[in-house]
Amino acid sequence: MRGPRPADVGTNRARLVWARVALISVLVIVAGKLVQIQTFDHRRLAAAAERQQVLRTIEHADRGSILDDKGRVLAFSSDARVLYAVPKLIGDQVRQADSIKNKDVDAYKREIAAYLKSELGDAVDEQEVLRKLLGNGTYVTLTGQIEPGKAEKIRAKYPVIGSEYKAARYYPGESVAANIIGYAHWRHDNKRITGLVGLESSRDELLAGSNGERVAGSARGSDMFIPGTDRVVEPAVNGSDLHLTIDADMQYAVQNMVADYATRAGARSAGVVVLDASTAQVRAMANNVTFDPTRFGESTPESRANPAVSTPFEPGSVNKIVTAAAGIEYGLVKPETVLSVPGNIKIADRVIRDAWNHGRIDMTFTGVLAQSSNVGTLMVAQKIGEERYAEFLDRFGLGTKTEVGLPGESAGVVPPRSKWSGSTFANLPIGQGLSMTVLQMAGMYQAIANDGVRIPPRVIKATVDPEGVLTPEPTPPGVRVISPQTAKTVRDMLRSVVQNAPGQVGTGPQAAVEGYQVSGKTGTAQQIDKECGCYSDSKYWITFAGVFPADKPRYVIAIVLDAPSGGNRESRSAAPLFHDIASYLGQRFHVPLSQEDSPVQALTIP
Amino acid sequence: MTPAVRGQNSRRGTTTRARIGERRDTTAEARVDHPRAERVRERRDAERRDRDGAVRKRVAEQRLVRERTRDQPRRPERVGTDRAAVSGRATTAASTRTESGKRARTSAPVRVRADLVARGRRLVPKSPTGAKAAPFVVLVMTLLGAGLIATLWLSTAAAADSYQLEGLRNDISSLTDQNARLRRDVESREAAPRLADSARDLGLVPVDEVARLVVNPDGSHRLVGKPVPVPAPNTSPLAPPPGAEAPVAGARESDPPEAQTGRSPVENGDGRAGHRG
Repeated sequence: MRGPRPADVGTNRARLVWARVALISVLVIVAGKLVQIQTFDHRRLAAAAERQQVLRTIEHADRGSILDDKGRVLAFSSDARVLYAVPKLIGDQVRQADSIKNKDVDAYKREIAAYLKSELGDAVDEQEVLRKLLGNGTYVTLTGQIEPGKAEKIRAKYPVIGSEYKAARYYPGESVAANIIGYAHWRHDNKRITGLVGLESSRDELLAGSNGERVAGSARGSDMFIPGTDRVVEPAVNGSDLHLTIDADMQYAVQNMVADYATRAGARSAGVVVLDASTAQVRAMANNVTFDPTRFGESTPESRANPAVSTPFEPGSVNKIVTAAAGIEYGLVKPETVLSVPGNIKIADRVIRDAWNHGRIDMTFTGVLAQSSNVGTLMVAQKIGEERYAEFLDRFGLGTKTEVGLPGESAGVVPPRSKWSGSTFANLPIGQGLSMTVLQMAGMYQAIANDGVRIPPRVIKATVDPEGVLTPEPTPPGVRVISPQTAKTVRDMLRSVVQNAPGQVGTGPQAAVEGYQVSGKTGTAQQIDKECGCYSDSKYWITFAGVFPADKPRYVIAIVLDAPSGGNRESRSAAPLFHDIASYLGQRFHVPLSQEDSPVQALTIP
Repeated sequence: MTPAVRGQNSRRGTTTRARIGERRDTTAEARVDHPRAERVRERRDAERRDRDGAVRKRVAEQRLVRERTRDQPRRPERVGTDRAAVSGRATTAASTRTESGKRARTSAPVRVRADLVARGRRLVPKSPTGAKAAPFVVLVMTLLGAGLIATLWLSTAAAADSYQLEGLRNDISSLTDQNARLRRDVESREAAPRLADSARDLGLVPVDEVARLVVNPDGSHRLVGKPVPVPAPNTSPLAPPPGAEAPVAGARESDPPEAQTGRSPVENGDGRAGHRG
């Protein structure tokens, strides 16, 4: 039986209760803080810890190279360094370092500048470097890209200078195939070389690969890392190499020839495409104007374009091959069929004349082509009919992209069959009212060079992945345009274009090459005069397309000149340029001479 | 007095041991002429002669066995010269002084303990001691020493290797640089523009029109094309004067192009290189 509680026991009990309360509240506070750290702030704190502990560096991937048909390198990458400094800190570092005897900061900076000059020579401007060092910048780059070995040597001597990784892209061929390859440069934000123009840009992902990552334990968030802790978290995947179908030597020669010819002809622009006859691979594709990737800063947007695939034109008489092929294929005419050709012909509401005034003359169909008679062609086209003609335009690949593999390709324009007016069919057979690129024009002639099977041209031959596995690009399916016999017949007929027999002269005798049979077709297309909305009488597209040699085709060459104004031999025809290119090909690639010269074919019957 | 004191006396090896009846203490055991005393005396002599402690060890082991088999306190016996007593001389002396006061009121188990303590014996089984323990200690020390040496040697080797590694890495990096530089050089020289420049510097001239000699199957030949001398470039002092050249021969069999004899024209150049100098 308890009596009244003594006073001290009662306060004791109260104190106990309060102590208990205090302890429990402390526990609750601690538990609450624990919950807060572990659940709510967990991610933020973990990230902060990682920033302190872990140093992340980029494992740089090597960019793939671009090579030509024979494996010669047209574009490749190499590691480089860029030297930088933080001028504000140099003073502090100089004062702290024991190894620097003379503690005068400015003299030290002069010493650095002099040493950089002695090591790097012309790559660096001593005064500029000195100015940057003496300034107050927080981060100044002292040099352009330099070799990693030299950078290490400089840093070993002057640790205050920092070096940063940078990759450099080299173009040993300079402007050779620049319109195709394009240009790529180091992008600081991507930390890799990125393509800007051409294949470097359109195939950038394939060429670049992907950068990896390396982590290392770092000492309190500084730049130093704990040795032995670094490991590659994600290995870099190098880029793949691109093998082109272009022959670099041919490209160089053709580029020079076209530029020279365009200047002499006074043309606004000019373009040439050389295809391999049997595979339709693009061996050369040149415009008269191109840029030098090693001097990219000096280039203009026009020089960086590739009009050979992007800019269509009206072909003119070169398009008569469609009529010839369809006429022979459907058995409507034979090469020796004689046609009575008047000086003009009326189709729908149009009157089409020939390029020279004449009365009614008897021409063989071969002569119609050799002398490029519009009237004779339209007569045969009428026999072919609109439906079949439209189908043949399609078979020859007009109005459709070739998917050659270059960016910015144009499909050309062919009016759809449903939209044809009466006069459309007066224009199309003579190569007006439709447009094509010089690549498509070459593709048409490749069909007759390849026994009637047209293969869409390609510029990329294969890709080589980082392990060295070569993957050829898939061969595009051929399109059967005409039978092999028709192809041979048309090819033989077109030999007469370069014929130069007395009284039987074709329109392009300058294209003939001694010792070889040559097939081709000249073309002169009127350009649209914007002021009147009609065809101009002074501005033309001068074209030529041909097969070399005609008896055993090896190459197809297509040429376009835009509004040549020189008033000389070169401005009137592209046939001399064809001769130059074909002659070069015959020498350089040891094309065997034709067994026999082209026979003289009757063009007009007197 | 306690047996421990006696033990001290006997350990000193004094002649008192030999003399019966002249003992300082007056335990009952001493006065009794027990056959056991006889044995004890013999044993003591043996112990005195015993140098390597084998006898002492045996005696101690026997005692231990006897203790374990008995469950009641024995009469206090004379202290054996076991190792515990030898090493714990001071402690036993101290403990005996304290224990003597306790002896009067100890119960049986306590007395056992007192006995054990008086005899300087440990309450736990003995661990290897003395000579038996030495090899183990040496072994452990050897292992530790070997481990230490191995660690030192490995880290020294690692440090030395890392210097070598650093040196090799530097070599690799400078060779890689050199390789890259040479590659850039070769690629640029191999490319068409530089080749054309080099050819021009050598005095080579590009050819437009080429005349060819075609060899017929019967051995005769015919000329295809018209040989035209290439105009000499104005700038090159080494260029041969125009009109002095023989036509370029690009002879050809009727079939494959590989059968071409004579010099094949290099890009932008021709056999005129032979006329240089």
